[in-house]
Amino acid sequence: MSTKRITKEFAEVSQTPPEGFTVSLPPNASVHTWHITLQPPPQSAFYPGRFGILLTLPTDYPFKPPVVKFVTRLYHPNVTNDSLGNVCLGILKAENWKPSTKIVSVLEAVRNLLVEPQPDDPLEERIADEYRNDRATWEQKAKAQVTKYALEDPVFPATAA
Amino acid sequence: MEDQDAGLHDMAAQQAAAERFQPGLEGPFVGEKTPSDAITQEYAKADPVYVEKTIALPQTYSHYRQIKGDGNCGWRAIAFAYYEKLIDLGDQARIEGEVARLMSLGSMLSNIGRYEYHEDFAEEAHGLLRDVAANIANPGLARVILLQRFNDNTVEANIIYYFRMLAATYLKGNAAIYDPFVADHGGIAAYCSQAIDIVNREIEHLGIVGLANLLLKPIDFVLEVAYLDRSPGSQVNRYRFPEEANEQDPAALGPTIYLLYRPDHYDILYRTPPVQAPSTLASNAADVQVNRVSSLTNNLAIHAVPGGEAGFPGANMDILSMLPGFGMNSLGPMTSMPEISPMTPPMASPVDDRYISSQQQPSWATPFPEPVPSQVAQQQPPPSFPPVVSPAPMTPSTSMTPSPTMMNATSIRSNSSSSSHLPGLVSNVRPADHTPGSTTFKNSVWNKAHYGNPDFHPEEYVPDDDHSDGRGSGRKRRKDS
Repeated sequence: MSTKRITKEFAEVSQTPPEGFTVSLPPNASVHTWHITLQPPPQSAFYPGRFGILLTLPTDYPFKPPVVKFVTRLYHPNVTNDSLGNVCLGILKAENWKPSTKIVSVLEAVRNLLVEPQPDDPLEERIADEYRNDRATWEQKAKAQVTKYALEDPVFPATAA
Repeated sequence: MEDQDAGLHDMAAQQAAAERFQPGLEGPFVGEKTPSDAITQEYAKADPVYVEKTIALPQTYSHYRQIKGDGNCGWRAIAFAYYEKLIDLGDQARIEGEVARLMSLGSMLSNIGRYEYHEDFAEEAHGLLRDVAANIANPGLARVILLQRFNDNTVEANIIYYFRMLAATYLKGNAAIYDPFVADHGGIAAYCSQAIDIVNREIEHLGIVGLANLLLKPIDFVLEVAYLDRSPGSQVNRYRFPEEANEQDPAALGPTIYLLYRPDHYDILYRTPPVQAPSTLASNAADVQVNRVSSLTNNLAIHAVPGGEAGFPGANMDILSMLPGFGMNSLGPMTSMPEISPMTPPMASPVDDRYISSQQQPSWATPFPEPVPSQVAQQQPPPSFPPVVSPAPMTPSTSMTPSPTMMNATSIRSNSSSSSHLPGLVSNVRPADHTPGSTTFKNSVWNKAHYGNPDFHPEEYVPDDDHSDGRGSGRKRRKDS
């Protein structure tokens, strides 16, 4: 059931991806795992980095939200600054999730997050403080991590098929 | 005596179900149709306002159907009752007409509701209508299909979401009317987004209004909600949807869906057929109470129940199953479950499925003198499953139905005390003992310890009880002695 919708959504997203995104399915994997690359727009502190995003759709999608993780490290108040790359995104929280939400909307929300971090709902308290109080330093560090981690093509972890 | 046979057969089936039973933590999304004095018993331990209202309840509504309280219950109850009512009417053309009508709402869902992926949800809902229509010549089978789909989480999630979208679409299409009601949400579109579009968000008044107007009103269906709350009065308050149905002569209303609302929860009610003379009703209700209590005390007691109460054994098990899980959702502490599980299995759904599949409907109502056209069907042997019926989806966990009703401290407490105490009931009470005295009946006039009982006999204080087992459970012991 959900596979049908996922297939439909994947077809739409891969044919006309939202700006800055490329989407592919990992080889030999189900349609429940998507490999996504995002290049944020120039006004983002993360430009011109290319960020790998792993989107996992639960078996009871669309009644449970997709899980979004950054595979590329970034210095961002709403993304854990570690190898997990967990993202805090309002529309993906279980209590807010709507089965009618399209994955495209999720991707657009992720892109907006890179343009405009949400320091009031942070996963990285320290980075959020820095973003609020010392924007120049934050931007400098963010750029440094872009240079360090995000200029190559993102490397996705091998997925269990 | 046919009823006797049916009753015995029912026992055998329950026995079999008991052996197959495996405890599960999850109750069914939609339970079996059950005599509604189970609600009275459940509430007999609640505060007096509830007790008074619930005692009156079975006189008006002979049966009810428990709906899982996972935040979708209001939506689920209306959706299920909508299908069930269509089966009741038994008109194939009408059901197919519903498919066509709902499909025609598709563009409205897109353009007004602004739902882009409604087709997948709709397909499941329409598919069930089609399948019901295709099997309408065999209403029992149609009911089994209905119950199965609603207990299949992937199917029912889609159907419920479809109903959510329908309600929201109606409200959005009439934003000018409904915007003022939800000004604090920022208008009806925002309200739908915050209160209807999200899964497991319980239905509110506006959601019911939306469904009543878009789904029910065009086919002349009426929804009547009985509010079992703390408002003054000895009867539940009733309100009908759509609104104008409240002013109409009840006899002139179209097919009516009855829901029971208890704070934060909806179940489906089934009205006692109106042909009953009130006096008959009352005496029957009395029989119901007495018999039920006797068999509540012990599985074996069911043998002692006089013939003719074919529907009771299953119902009794249902009561038992309510004791432990009362008020607890599936994730509640179930540590006491294994202990009581041997008590509950007879409620396991395969028994009931079978009966439904063989036009079981009237047999539930045997305590009431209404036409029972399917006596023969009742006696069909257990393996009479229709081919479509695979018992698997109807998990035996049915029997563990934690009554998802009121989440409060009282219920949690009653959970621990009653479950730990059930084995005592089994071992001590003789089947023939008709003393109505379980905790659930404590405050009922059917209890001899109640001053209103004709055989009133005051409770006696037994000192041993108090240090046996903390709070509350002492009462039950007393009865056993």
